[in-house]
Amino acid sequence: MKTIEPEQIVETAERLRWQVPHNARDRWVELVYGEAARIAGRNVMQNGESRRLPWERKLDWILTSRWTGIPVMIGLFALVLWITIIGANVPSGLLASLLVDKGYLGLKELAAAAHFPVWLSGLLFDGMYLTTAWVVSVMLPPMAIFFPLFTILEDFGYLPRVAFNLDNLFRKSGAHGKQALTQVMGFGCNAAGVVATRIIDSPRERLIAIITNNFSLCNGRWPTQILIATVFLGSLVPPVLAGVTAAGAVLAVALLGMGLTFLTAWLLTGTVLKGEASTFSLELPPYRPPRILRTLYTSLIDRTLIVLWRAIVFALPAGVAIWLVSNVTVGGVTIAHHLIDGLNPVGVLLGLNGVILLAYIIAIPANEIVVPTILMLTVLSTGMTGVGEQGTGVMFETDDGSLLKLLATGGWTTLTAVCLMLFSLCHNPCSTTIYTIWKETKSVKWTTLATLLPIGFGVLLCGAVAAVWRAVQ
Amino acid sequence: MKARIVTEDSLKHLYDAEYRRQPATAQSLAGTIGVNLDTAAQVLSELEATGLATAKDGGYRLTDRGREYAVRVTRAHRLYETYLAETGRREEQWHAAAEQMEHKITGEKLDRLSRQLGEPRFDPHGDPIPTATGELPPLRGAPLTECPAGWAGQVVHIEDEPQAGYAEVIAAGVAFGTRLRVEMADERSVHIDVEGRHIELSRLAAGHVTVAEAREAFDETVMRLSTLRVGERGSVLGLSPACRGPERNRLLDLGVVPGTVVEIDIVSPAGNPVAYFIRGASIALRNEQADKILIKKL
Repeated sequence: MKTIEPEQIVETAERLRWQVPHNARDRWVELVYGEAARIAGRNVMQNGESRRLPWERKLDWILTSRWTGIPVMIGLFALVLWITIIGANVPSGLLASLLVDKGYLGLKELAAAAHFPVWLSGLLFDGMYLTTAWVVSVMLPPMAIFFPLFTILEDFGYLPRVAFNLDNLFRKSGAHGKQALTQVMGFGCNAAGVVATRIIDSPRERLIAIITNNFSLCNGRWPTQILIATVFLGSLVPPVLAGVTAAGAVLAVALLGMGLTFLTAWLLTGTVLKGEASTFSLELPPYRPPRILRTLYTSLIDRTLIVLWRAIVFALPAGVAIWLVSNVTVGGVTIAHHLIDGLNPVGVLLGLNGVILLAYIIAIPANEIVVPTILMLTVLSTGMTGVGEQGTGVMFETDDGSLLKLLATGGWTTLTAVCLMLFSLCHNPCSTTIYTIWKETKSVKWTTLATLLPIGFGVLLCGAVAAVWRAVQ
Repeated sequence: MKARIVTEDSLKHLYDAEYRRQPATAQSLAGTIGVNLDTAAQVLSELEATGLATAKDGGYRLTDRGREYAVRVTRAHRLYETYLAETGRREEQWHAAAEQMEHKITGEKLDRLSRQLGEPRFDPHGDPIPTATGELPPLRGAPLTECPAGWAGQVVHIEDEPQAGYAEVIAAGVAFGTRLRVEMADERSVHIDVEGRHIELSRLAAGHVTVAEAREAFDETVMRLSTLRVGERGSVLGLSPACRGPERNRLLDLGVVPGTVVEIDIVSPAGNPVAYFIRGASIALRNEQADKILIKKL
């Protein structure tokens, strides 16, 4: 037998290496997959046809056809929002009376009975407890209604069809159809919306969805929008039209948010996200009856409670900060006064004022407490009496009539209201969301971008509106 | 650092010219690396002074030491382009990114990258990746512009510079490995049949494409999944060579493999995406994905 030297083998291999077809590897992988499929087909028994049942095909047609797909989608979405807003009123009121009215007063009495020093009782109960109680009572009920409804639609198999219907719109701005779902989730809570982007498996599209989620007005911002629109814009027109005007204004802000989502997605894909990989796939699962109990359980545990817990963790220190800035004095004036005076010039330039900017800074843990903080700071800075007597640094809410009077005393105009609505849409995400973005991306870069980008839009929008407004007047 | 980049880019040019049996001169170098003629001449004389190249018959050739250096830089460039393609980056980004990285990846890191990618032999443009010892296959193929009507074969190389013509080739969905047939060629453009679609390439773009004979005969029945109509059934033949990296793996994972039977399940309101029935599941694919799935009608 002829012996072959090792060198010869290597040499032959080197030569043959270039003679194998260039796509051998791709073909080989394809054949491995093909062979696996063939083996499975030969050995797996299947009952009945894999095709969809007639009613499923009919339903698919209704939910995805050109003429019925979109109206059904808008109708269902409006219904879910309506149930959430109406349904949350009662439990929110109950929680507020329990935690804010009774609980707070009870704790204050206890503190008095135990001879707590004023500062300790103020810090613990006016600051930490009240802020947290406020966040819980405003945040919990809408989330506890919205998330289960959303999860039931998901479980039934409808949501993938929504992504399917809207993908073309998202594709044009470089995003993924599934982002439609995370944006809707953002209407409930941006932190939950950011977590929900896990369903998008393509890294680039997922980042887009995370960064733009803040443009969905969350459940902490809807009340601000509705309140300001009703009190200020509703009062500009005859009472008959007040409701329509206010609703129209809020809708316009929500639509502006969607517009900004597409604009931002488009800007990002053309610039910072240019290099990120992108793939698309979307499975339309068969319909199945939703498992109501399981859905309730998972949506409460996975979505509602996690978000609520994070909000509480951030609300506690914020309560301390809010109480401190309005009670600690430097040079005879509270820190809040100093900050408001410092922020005022910038605020006025943006059509807002120092109080609003300070409220957005110290109420960063939750959008829910922005309006109460604004009211408290307005009373503090104008030195007016007759409202909010609980004490300095204590948040409160009041009815629409006295609200208008109070804010007018604080120097508010229609311009302030319009700019506040815009700024409420375009400002940094709450700290819970920022933390969630960091948890999901593990990247300082993307977290910073997601935090600062909306403020950039807010400053531009408010500044432009204020400049035009003042020029016209 | 800047000087080293110019040196390495110049060595790469000399190496490529040697492989293509074209003379390397100050003029060709200036055009390739984007400097003026004086600078190019100066760079070449520096290469000669440092013993990396020698002047010969009016052109420049690499010395053994220069070739060794050039192999490393070229290998880094082509491996990195392969890496970018395999991780799903878009064609337009490969070249610029690789131009930067080729000066940074060396030695051990380069071998590790090659191992991770499965010791690839060609970069995504069809350029052979020299082995660590500098082995290369013989150059093959002819420009598409020289092929007569009726000629059929496959793409063996796509030149990625300058940008304009290259962008047209990418937009046409022509990639390294694409099977094609020349339908007609005139002085302005080349008409080709690619995966069942008729495409007109300008002569500028066609000049970027090098083609060679294929082992198998041209298959007339190949069509793209995107052209399947409601009610028709197709059988998957494979994925287009233009479908790479994560995109390719995803489709394979979903069961888009040779022999799979596909038909349309539902069409979205805008007509894009379309949901296809694939192995008992309804999978929505965008039209640009369905463009890269090759089928034959059943």
